[in-house]
Amino acid sequence: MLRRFEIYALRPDAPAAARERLRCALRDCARFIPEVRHSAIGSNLSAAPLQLVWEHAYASPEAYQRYMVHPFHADVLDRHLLADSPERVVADSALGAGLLGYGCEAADYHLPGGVRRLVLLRLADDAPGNRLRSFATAAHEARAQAPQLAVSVFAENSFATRWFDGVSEIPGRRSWTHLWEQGFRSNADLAAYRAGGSTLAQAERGGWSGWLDGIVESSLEIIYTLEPGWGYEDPG
Amino acid sequence: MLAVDGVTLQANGGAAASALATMSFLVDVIQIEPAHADEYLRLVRDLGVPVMTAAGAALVACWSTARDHGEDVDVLVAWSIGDAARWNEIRKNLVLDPRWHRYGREVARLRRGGTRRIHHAADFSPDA
Repeated sequence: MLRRFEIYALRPDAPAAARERLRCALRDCARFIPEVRHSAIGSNLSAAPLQLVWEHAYASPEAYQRYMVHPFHADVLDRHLLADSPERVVADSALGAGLLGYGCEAADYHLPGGVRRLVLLRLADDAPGNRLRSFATAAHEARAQAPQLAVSVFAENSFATRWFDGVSEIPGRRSWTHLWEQGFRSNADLAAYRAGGSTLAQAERGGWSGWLDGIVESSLEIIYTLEPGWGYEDPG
Repeated sequence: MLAVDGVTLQANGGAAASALATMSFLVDVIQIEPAHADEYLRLVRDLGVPVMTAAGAALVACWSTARDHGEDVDVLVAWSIGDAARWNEIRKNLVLDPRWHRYGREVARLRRGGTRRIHHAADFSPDA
């Protein structure tokens, strides 16, 4: 499977109706493009200057490639997004968080409802493999230490450079090398997790300083209440 | 020639995936203050045409309404973009071209509003 996120800053002068059209087009995209799975949107609640998140997935690179050439994408989605479109609702952002994602074996990210938190991570280019594995293991086991975590998936941000077909790498620097996707049943659970004593929550509260020999160079959090779209309830 | 409004078929959310299997046209209709209309057209000519052409699109038409009718000028710009697979390539080329991002910023500075739609030629259209 391919897990994918689009995260946008919105033009402050964009009409509210236009913003709503974009939100609906993304949220209910699966109504028009059946290859889009687990489509949901959210309004970012973190301090990052990004406002709109679209999370979704594809069963395979081939499914993603059908999405890329679908008329709904070309006509309806693109009109709100492309830089030269007169109906553009989004704004440029230097954060490099516009398109993120990863490959996975199953929909372990699926959250029936609640609060999503994405931790975008820039890990050192020369981070040793055993340190990366330790991070992955810690994230995988985080739910045992912090029962508030309903979802915890750590993965390389492979989509940032494979956005064209989900496979081929397009040269360019990734702002964020890894993603840690979290899910909580409520804001209270999120707050309890962040204040809790789990290894990763403590490391994060400490600004990741020294964690795994300092492999975390920078991080950015995105938080939103899930607004499920068309067909989202299918957990498969 | 490009026919619009009433004589072209507009792709929409319910369209079948084959709707872009034939020649398609990217049609922007932009509203500009009369005082900025000529500058806007220069941007299309000097920035838009080179970058869109390099990406694989072709300019079909660039029309504008009168400047002296006491209302905004409408500028219609139509690009031939081929079929769905071709548009996917064009879009990739645009996203990777810094000139296109500059073009986007420059035209956004001038326009007051507008629409973008993908049109398909009716079978009796001259461009079909």
